[in-house]
Amino acid sequence: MTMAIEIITQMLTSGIDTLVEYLTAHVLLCLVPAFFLSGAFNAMIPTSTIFKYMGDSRGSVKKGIAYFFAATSGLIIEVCSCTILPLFAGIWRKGAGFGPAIAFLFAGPGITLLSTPLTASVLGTKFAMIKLVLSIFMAVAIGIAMELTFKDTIDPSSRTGFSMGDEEPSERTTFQSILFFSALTLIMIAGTAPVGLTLKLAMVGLFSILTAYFGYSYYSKDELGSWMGETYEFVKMLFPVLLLGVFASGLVKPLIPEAFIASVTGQNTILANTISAVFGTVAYFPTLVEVPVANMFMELGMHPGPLMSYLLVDPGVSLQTLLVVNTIIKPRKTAAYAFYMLSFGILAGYLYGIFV
Amino acid sequence: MKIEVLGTGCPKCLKLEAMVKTAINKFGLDADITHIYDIDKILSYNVMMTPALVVDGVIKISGKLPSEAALEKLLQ
Repeated sequence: MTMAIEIITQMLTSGIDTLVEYLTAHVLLCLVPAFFLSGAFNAMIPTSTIFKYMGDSRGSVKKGIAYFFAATSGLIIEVCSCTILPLFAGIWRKGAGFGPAIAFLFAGPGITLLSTPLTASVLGTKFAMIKLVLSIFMAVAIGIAMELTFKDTIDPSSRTGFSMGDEEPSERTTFQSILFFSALTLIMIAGTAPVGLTLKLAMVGLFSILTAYFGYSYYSKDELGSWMGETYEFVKMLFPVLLLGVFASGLVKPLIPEAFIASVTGQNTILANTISAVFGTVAYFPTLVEVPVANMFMELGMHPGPLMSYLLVDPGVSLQTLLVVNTIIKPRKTAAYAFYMLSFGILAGYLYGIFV
Repeated sequence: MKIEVLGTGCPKCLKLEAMVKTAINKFGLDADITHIYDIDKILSYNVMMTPALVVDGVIKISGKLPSEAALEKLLQ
């Protein structure tokens, strides 16, 4: 009885400690601006602007551009899993083809703007940047591998391109948009930068004033309103889940034997990376929650190599996603997709583990 | 008036259908509402982002939930 109470007390303390750690200025200063930036991307950049580049594959240059946008689109648009499917099917059958569609399928949910600053503040800036670059390369690699494995059988004449509705005429110059988004991005970078708290606050304050100034000068009240609306939606959707995930990861940490994690994934070996990548596929964590989970594994002694494999694979795919994708592409292709994703994830993590 | 809601069955798509029904009832409009779940059919409209709203064959909304006011204005 006393032992049970002891364990529960230990779990609760660990859970609360972890939660407090995430609610410090350090984490909030990078996460809050990231929410605003995601909100701004969603409210102020028409999706048609992004997707028109994935609508055409005539010529290798256009194909390259399609791959590039497919692999980075996740940064700019936050798509919920229900929107991924028609987009995937659309890029495949009407747009740039199978490869870019697969790249998008991985990158859309897998590469999010929000997770990068969070990863940076928890696992280090270098780790976060390398992870971002690796996942972009991975998206393209999986796309190309899939296209080479399965010849695209869609009749080119059915590739009509696609309409994204009317493009709204822009009321500001590109230069003005760039100013606004740069100032907003700088808030996030300043909030993530590894500098002292005073300097950080000063920089965040300065860039916030700049952002507010550009926002008020160049954007209408309606646009600013929908920006705040989108930001609020993101916070409402993701923040409670994140806090819950953080608390839960702290809660279970005392229950996981450190020796077990260290012995299975403490070294950078192909086996260790495979185990952590497979875990990433099977385990489903809501967006952003994979980061505190990774943090927990690291504290329990996981090597950065397997940790990278896990983080590359986890957000991109879960069994749930694979099952849904399976309804559009044949099981053979789903299996190949899972295989390539795991292989590239394991390999990328392994290479990172060697050089770290 | 022929109204089609295109969606894969995701929460936002179902919400759009509910919003359309509410608006129709509110104004007593004569409308025929169908919800299209089939992905191939959705694609045949050249729609990539769901939820989408098609009124009399014209794509009015794609990829987002409209505000109530915007939707009412659209349907009237």
